Amino acid sequence: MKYSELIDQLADAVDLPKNKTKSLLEETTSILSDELSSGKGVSIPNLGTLTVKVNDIKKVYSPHHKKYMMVPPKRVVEFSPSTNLKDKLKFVRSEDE
Amino acid sequence: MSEKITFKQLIEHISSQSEQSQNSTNSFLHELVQIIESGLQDSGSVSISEFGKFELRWMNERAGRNPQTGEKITIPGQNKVVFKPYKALRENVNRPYANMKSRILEEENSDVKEDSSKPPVVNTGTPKSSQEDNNLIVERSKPAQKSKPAPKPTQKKNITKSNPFETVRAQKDDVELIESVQDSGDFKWSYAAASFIVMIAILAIIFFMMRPDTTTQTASDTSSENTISQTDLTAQIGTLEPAESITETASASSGEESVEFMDYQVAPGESLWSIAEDVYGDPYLWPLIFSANNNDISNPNVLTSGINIEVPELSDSDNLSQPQLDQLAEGYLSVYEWTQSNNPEQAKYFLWAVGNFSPDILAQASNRVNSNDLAFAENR
Repeated sequence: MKYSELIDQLADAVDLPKNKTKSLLEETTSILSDELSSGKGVSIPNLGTLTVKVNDIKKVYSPHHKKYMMVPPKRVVEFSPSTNLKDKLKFVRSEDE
Repeated sequence: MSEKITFKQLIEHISSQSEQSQNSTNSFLHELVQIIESGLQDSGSVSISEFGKFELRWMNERAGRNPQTGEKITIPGQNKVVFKPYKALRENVNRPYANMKSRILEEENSDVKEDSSKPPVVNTGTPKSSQEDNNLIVERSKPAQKSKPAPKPTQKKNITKSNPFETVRAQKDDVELIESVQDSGDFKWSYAAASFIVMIAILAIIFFMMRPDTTTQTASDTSSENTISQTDLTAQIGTLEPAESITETASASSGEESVEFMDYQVAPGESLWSIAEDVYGDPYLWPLIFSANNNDISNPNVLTSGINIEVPELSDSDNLSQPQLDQLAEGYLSVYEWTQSNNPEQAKYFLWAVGNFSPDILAQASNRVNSNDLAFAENR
């Protein structure tokens, strides 16, 4: 599903004009993004939990340089779906896309 | 990160931003979740601009085992819901580490080890004694140490002849070196450390037999304690060291005592890192802010928006004076202590930063930090 289709359906569902829905969704995602970037996780019912994980500094072998490299720590977003959502979608065969 | 905000807090936050009632925000979010779910069901992926993409990924059937009984089972193929953050979100989240780059490791471990014990020695001792200690360090890392104690007594004698008042100090440095070696606690080193202690003892005995005057009495006491009980000595030095360096820093900082604070209100999405970047132009100075607001900020990774914090003012953030560097190191030390209790595996990098900015502070703190971390910090 594309972003525009999402907005169309959402606008229908909440009975708001599309541009209003779009700005509301943008605000929502920017707040989620800000919370995540300040290191806090958030659980959304029926969807799942978004958390931030720090990947530790690590030593890897670079085949290109033929030497070991230190890779700096990195913060990444992790998503774990709620069991509800997981179970519902477990056996949906959607081969298209 | 362990900290989370509740769904309720999220709704409050969104509704205050968008000037909608909490009820409508709540239903909005629930509809959003519904549509994401039906979208996943229909097309297998839902994309949200500037945020990320929810996707279904088909996992093939695979062989597994029941973890309780060890019995072989086949796990049937099933869908997994994955979330792929888009670039904007990835960069926003990774901002604290954004400026760090991969680095090729050039030197081997053995080289690093030789350098390891220098920082504390250089701080506490005079140039002469540190030179002498360096010689000892180089000797220590070679396996066949006991076979050649011959050249060292002469070196030591030279130094003590040129400056008799140096003896006690040199002795202390030696002991401190032992302490730091012992502290490092790495079992790889334990052999080197043991033989090093023995070597020092032999050295001390030879040395005091050769020069049986002024300081013999006290020093031989020290050497006997040296061999019998290390703990007493380290305790003595532990009490000696801080006092000395405190007076040093006090005299140094008395010149420019006035640290001015600036009030700063935290905006949503800001971190200590970004504030330091805005205010000082150098994000690596953020521990200064953290140490100035120790009471208000419990977790340096999480900054509540809207709170007021005090930001110490710096006149020239490119060239920090020594007291400022010390302060920065203190800041990193408090970050280290926090990380030590919350995320012990990463704490060592902050300790390394302490030593980087002010070896003095690292040396002062050496008896209250984890020995493995200390070894790591000194190795760098």
